[in-house]
Amino acid sequence: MKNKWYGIAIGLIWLGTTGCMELIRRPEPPGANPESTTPPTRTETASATGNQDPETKVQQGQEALPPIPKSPAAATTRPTPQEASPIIAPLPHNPERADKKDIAQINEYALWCIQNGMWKEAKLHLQQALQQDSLMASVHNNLGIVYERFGQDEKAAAAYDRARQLKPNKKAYLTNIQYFDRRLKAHSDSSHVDRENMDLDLIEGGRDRSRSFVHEGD
Amino acid sequence: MRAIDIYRTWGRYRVWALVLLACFAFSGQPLQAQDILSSQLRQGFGKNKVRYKDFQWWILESEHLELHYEPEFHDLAQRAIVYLEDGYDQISEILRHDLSTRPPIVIYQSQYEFQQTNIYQGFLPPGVAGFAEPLRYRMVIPFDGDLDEFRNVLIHELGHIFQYDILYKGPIKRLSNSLSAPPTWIMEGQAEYVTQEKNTIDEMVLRDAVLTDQLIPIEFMNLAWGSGNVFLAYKQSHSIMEYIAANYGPEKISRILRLWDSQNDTDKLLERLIDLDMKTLHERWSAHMRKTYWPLLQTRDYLSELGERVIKDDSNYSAHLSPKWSLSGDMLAVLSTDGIEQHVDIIRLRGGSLVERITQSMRTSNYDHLTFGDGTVDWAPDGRTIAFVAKKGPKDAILLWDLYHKKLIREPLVFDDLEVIESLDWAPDSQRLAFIGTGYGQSDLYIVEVDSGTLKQITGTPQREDHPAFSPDGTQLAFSAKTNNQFDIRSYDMATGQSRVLIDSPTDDLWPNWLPEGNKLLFVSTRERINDLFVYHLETDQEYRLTRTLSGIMNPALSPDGRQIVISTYYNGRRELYLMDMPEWPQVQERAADLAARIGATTVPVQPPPEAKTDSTAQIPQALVAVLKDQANQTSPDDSPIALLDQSTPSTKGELLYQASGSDDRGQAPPTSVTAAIPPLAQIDSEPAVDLDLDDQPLRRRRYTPKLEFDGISLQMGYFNGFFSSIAQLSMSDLLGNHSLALATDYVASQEVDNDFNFAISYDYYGKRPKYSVAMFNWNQFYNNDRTYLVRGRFNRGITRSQQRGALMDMSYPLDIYRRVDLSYTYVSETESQIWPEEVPIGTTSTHLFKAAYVHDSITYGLLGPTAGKQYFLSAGRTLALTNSNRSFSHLELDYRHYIRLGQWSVLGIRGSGVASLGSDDDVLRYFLGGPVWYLPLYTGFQLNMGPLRGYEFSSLQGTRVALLNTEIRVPFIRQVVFGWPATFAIPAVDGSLFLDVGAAWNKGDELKVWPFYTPGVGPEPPGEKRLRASVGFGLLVYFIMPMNFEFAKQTDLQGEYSDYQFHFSFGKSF
Repeated sequence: MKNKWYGIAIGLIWLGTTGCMELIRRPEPPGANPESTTPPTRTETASATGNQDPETKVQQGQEALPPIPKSPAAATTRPTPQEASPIIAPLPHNPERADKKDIAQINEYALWCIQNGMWKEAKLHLQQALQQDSLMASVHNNLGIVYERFGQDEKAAAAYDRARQLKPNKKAYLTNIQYFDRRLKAHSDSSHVDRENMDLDLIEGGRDRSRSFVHEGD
Repeated sequence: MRAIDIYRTWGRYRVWALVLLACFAFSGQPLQAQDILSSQLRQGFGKNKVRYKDFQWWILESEHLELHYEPEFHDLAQRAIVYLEDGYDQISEILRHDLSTRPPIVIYQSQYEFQQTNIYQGFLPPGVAGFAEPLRYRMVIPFDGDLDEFRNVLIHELGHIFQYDILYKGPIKRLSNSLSAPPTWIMEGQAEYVTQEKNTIDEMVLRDAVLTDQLIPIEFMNLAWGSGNVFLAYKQSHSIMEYIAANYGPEKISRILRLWDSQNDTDKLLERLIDLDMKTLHERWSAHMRKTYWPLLQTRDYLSELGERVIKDDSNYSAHLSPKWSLSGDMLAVLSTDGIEQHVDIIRLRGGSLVERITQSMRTSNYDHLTFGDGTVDWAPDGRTIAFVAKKGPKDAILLWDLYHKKLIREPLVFDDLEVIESLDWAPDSQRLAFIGTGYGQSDLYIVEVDSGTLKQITGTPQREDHPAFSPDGTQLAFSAKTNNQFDIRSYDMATGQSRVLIDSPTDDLWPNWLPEGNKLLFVSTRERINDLFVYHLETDQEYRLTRTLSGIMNPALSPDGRQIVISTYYNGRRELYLMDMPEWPQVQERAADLAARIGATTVPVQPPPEAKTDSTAQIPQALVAVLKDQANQTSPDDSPIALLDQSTPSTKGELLYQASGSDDRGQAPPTSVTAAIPPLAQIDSEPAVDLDLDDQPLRRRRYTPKLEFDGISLQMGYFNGFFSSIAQLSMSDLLGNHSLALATDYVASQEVDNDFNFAISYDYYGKRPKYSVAMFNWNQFYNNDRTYLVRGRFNRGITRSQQRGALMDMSYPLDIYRRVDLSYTYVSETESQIWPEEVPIGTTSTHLFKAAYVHDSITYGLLGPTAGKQYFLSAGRTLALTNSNRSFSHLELDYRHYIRLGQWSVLGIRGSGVASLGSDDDVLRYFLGGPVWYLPLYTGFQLNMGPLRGYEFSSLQGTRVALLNTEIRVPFIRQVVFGWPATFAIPAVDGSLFLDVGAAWNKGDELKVWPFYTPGVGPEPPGEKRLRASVGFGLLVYFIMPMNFEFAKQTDLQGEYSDYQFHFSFGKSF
């Protein structure tokens, strides 16, 4: 009973806070996002111009996404995403997307699996999430890390790219791509890649910030 | 359990408590009315035995038996009569005895209805398959879904009735005088022997004990029923009886009990029976067992040679069952127990460590318990949902746990007529669940749509189905089905509704698992009487042996990719999970050939167990579960004269099977969230129905009408302090235990006192959900008063009589197993008068007391005290003062206790309680503090000792108000020590404790000073002032026959002042 009252109280506070935030929120000017330290790409420009992120637009059926821009590094070192992964098909017009909260929960579950060292389980759940909704950038990003962990670099490249495409102004995605490219380059001449000991795991050790898992809503 | 039993029996034996009070009548300290009031106000804890159903009973009478049953499952009752009459002839021939009377047998249509019986007042936990009692020869048996098992339990318990009749020459019907009976291993072994049944699970346990050198020496066997491996003890007892019959003649079995009557000593009994003492018998029998099983080592593999243990925990008390794979195979969902609690856990496949305990956050008060059996958990193929089963109220419910949201989703799935749910299996679409449901006197296969709750009944035979498994494409449902007394594997076509036999070997074929390609089945078969893995190819109709194990295999679970198998086995005295690789198809064939060649190559033939009488089944893993739980819980030995049997074994002798009617209209109307739709049942081409015509033994059928009969009677006489007393106790109840009447009378006389007749009578009714109790009493007590008189030239003290008359009325309504509301009314009139040497009235007071209490108790108990959970009550009482002679006071009491587990056996107990008596007559109730919880041996008088406040003399503090805080940490020192001298006995548990007690007792008008605490050694506080008192100490808690506490405590003010140690000894479980 006590917990119930705590829950109600917290809920009321949350509602009040978020309601007030909505009232005082103003449209964010382009580049005001402190995460957007890199020059805006075409996608980011479009997003900023429309004052709405592309995911939201697609969700509302307003506009199809523009072509995927390739970073200069990716052009030289990574396989073509479209060839690499069957997941990375042309973005569908998907007006009836699965419940976003539900997908976010799958994403959380996958991260929980990763936290507990069960990468294979995480991979399958992230893939299932994308089957329900292929427009969740965080899921693509996290799946990219999981692919990378399993040595599936082509799929990883495609997933990273799709995440960046869906949320171009998200710094974490760009960083992941940069580190991914750097690793590929570093290991391109190496005959041995110790994937089991790749420093990908932010959650377990936090030593290496080379890959960032993303919670939906971050 | 023990505490619960005390609570449950208190109502019925209230009258004996009054008699106990009477025993204090001559102590010089009179029993006061407040003692009766105190006993009424003393609120008890305890879980509730909830009577969910209003049972309607009928009786079938056959030649030798009287069967009580509910008319809605008349068919089952008829079968029971057939089984019992056959069993009667069988037992009568073996034991060479006919019963002196027709024993009443009560059957329930499910385990959960059985648990509501009032014939046994205590709790009947899952795993108890039936009981028989010697007082009135009653047998009480539930139907658990398998007719063969049902038959075995009936015959086993009927065997006990024969034993009682041989030993006691009729229902004993007495309350006192201990019953002299042979050791439990002889009683149970003989009952197992007359059942004439042994299955592959029995042999698995026995074989393991032989191969791992864990046979229990015969002289220690009895201890196993108290705190050992009960399941092994049952099987050993059976095996020893078989050994005696095979080597010394079957007639020896019938002689055992007759010889016992003249010997009363096990060694002498055996010497006279077979000219061996226990030790020699054990040596010969164990040599025989080794010769039987050791040759298997040459041709069979340890599971450790085939795979690796999933869980590396070596605790004897923990067990993991029913493994189910996650989506990727990284994890397993399992049922787990650590000996105290049961849970649904997610564990890592590699290493077996716990990842998440999904039942951790479930409130225990929402569910009675987790249903802990093989197949009561399953992980959906989409990896998102875990289904498991928990009992809620009168029946099981399927709960769905969403891993993404980490909470239960949807309403629990419950079904009107299905009480027990087992063997869950998800369809590939993760939308449907197949399961085995038991109710209405039979068990069948069902499929439920989890979204809509729509239920579809697949089978309708009276015989057992089990282990459903959807094919990878969801078009077929394979399952084990019993026909001709053995399990075959059948397949149900979801499109056509037809079923066909897939695997039909001469032995049991169980636990089918589809390989991912959908054309092969992995399954367990009991070939050569050991459970092993086989693969059956549906297209070629060929089967291939995959293992030849020593221990045997249960409940295999194939990984989603078909490359690994997790299996359950019994090894080294405990249940284990092993992970082994599933070979690719070509290797399957090669391995089968290798195993076949191994048999051909060996020069030493494998001897089948000589006692093996039948090809039987392997299906009762619940039995092992029950035993494991029993071992783990270390429940205190039951000293009641009721023989309890763990889940017994299925039989091969059940001859009855018929095709159920397709128009079965039992009505599957589900509760609110569930809709029912029962299509025509699957057409199972089982053999024709066996004729149940009982014309040769006509059955008389009549309605049950309650009739009070003697449970027992006892007479005691005594002389004390000049008074002669003759106490008679009498107890009556109806056969089903719903009505109970108890009467006690006391005829008191002395030189000075005229003959005086005392009585107390109580009636209790348990037939409905609320429990009612009424008692009346007229009780006189005599004591020497302080005045001195000159009588016939001698100085004598006067004698005063205290006469108490009154009535008690109680009503208790259980909200569920954990919560209840108690209401009571008490009237006591107390008249005191001097009666000798002259009659002088002293005064009369009376009390009308109303009391209400709300009680919550979800505690689990170990041998020495609570181990987990919480309990609390709030009790309020108020008197009604109608005249000046009526007492006027109020009573308020709150007690809250919380027990937090600190590891496997360590417990932190916290208790806060307060009690107050208010009003103009508040001093009628005086509460005491000081010393341990329970009063000391030989302490006379009822007191409201609210303890423990250790470090202080017992009940040295008193007042009309009390506040108390206790904290105690209990840690295990010893678990299970067996002594061989001066007699064979065991001490199952010794704990150590550290504690801190703080409390005070004060009266109206006193000022309670909370700080600083009372300083030890400074003497009593000034008048009108009371301080909190504290103590710290340690103790040794020992379970030997009953809990005993040796505690040392120092008073302290928590500021550095301490008194010397005060030692306390007390009986009973710690708070």
